[in-house]
Amino acid sequence: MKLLLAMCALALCACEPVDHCRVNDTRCSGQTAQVCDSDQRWVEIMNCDEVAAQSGGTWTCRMLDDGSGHTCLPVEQDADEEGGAQ
Amino acid sequence: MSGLTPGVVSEFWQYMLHRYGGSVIDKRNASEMQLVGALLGKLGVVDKDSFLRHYATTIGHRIYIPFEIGLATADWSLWGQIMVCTHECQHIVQYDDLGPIKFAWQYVAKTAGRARLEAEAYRCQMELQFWRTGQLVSAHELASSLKSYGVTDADVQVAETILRMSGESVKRGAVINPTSRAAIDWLNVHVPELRAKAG
Repeated sequence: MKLLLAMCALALCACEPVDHCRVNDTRCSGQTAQVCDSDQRWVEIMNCDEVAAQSGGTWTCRMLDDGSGHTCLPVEQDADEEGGAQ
Repeated sequence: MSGLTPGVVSEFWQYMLHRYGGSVIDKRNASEMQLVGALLGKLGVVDKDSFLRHYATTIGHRIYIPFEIGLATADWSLWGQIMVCTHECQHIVQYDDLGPIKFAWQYVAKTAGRARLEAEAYRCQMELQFWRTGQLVSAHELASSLKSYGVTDADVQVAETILRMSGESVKRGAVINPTSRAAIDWLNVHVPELRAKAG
């Protein structure tokens, strides 16, 4: 019985946690903006550190002001500092 | 299209292919693409002729294109050739990042994976178009292109969300895809006059 329990525990530990989400929802996971795909798994939209490295300035994952989703947004710089530019 | 000449487009392709280790093959004469086209046609995903004439396809580091680089046609303008080059190079980056097995599994076996990989590549069009015009391409319009990739309606909606969220960042100055960054840097040096004027 103990062996059976131990095997079950091991099997549970070996599996990835199931994190079913609602399709098309978005969220921030640290510096990563994510969307829930049709398999109900969170997948990356973009990583804000990588956006910052490529675009200049400081970027952080936040919800948009209108609440329509999460993405990487620039962190306001002081007036005399230069922000990201193409 | 001042500034964008056949020579500039050819040089751009040379630069991007060298940077990402890609090679170009004429899709219309490639026997493997004839087979893929026939298969997709039988599966009802896309009509064979349409697949061979209207779509570029990348497998690994090989980019199959249905046009001659630098020769503008009704289907493939010079600017369209710049954008599709960047899009296909983004697939090379994905292939290198994921590795051949994971990439193939995600792209071929899973509609959600295919939609996401394509949405990410279509983001190149959004980023380049924004650089050139200062206007965002509609996320809905771009995501609708995925309907011909055999994905589900839910996948198209997720792709639209990816592109819509990307657009929010792009219009604030982000360049998200590495291939877009490389393309824009090149364009800024070689054809800066194409870039949208600020304000």
